[in-house]
Amino acid sequence: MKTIGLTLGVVAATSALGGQVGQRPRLDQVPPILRLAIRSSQTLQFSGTRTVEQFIGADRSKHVEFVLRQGGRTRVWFPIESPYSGQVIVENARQRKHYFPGKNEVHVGPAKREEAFGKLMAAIGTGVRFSTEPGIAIAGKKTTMLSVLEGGNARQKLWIDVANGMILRRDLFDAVGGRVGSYEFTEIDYNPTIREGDFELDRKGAKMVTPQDEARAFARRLGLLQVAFPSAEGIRLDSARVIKGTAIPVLQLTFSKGPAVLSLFQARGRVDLPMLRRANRGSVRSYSWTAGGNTFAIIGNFGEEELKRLAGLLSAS
Amino acid sequence: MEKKTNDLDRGLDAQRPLARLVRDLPDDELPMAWRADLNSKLEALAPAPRRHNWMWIWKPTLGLGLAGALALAVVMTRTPRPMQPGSGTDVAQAMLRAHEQSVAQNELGTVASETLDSDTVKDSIEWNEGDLTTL
Repeated sequence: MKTIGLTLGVVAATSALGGQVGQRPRLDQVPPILRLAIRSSQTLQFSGTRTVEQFIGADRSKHVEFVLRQGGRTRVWFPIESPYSGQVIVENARQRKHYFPGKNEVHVGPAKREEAFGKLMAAIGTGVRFSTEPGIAIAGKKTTMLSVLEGGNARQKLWIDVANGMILRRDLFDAVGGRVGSYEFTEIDYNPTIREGDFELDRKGAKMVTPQDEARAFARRLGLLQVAFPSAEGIRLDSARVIKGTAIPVLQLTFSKGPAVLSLFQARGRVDLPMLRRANRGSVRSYSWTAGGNTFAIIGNFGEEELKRLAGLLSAS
Repeated sequence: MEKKTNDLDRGLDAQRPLARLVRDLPDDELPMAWRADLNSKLEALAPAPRRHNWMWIWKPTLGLGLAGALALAVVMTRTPRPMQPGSGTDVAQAMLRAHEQSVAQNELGTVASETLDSDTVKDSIEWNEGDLTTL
């Protein structure tokens, strides 16, 4: 009876993840602590402070944020001394709204937390292995450290509160073991005061901006082509940004295709990208071409033929 | 000569009653409607003011411009933009890093620092505890 209950719990959690998972997770490979984390992800409520770190090549950025969560609803805001003070992010199961006070804009996009769990569930279905060991105390809570292994190498580590399944720390690693991102709670309160409106964001006079709006604006500003995938392919535009660290402006459009992330880059003029071709190792592949005098590249966890096919589907929008 | 002058004087004298008659006629104020009607008729009959035809200058210029643009478009189409010198490796590396970062953000469910950095203007009003207790 207990096993059936757990199975239903995990399947229910999976179903609630917006259909991101294509196959039922193999429960015999899921350690009990991860089952607990998945089950509690839809019901936990807390307020906490966490440090988010991002590693971009040799660069590292770090910021502190406050998180209030009730089940599938989240509110994120920033300390007064933070350069991001005033920005507010609210998210429910469907969408994320991010308010930028300087621009007086609300950027509306797909929910990310649900997809983060969706990716974790998808990984379970791909035959990854798990290992657990007692973890260090995080935010004063006793944890179990769960490692998600691919080919024997840790691709992510989770420190999970043994009492309720809360993921208090998460580290992600690249194929060669370099840390690419992490978050860690430094304070946590499982009995927060939650008020009506905590998960709403209504700014009178603020401009609503979608990823498509951003993509169009960047393309216009940089003199690039405005392109899109046909809607029938089920490829969703998640974000648009100009990437850092290049002598020429390069626009990145990030798409979701199921649980996979697909990046489409466009640079003005012709750029030879032999290094991109040489980097076709592991599960990440790339394909580049020129069109309309500009250079395009598509990178994702797909086969090269699929990337080529996807590239052929792009049309001016 | 003396006779001729006298004849003229007589003739002028003979016209004086007529002149007096004309002078004594009452001043007829023409109705405004009639004046307006007359003005509009005159305007209709008047030839249109002659415009200086500067188009003789612009027509060839426009033609030359169009021809130039067409030629440029053909050249641009046939000649690819020059290769960006020495930037290929940097660009490729930046693309790979950016993709890796997007994947990490997607998995963590957090917001990219570049997105947060795009707006660093703080809230215009920053309340503190003192604001609550001093009223």
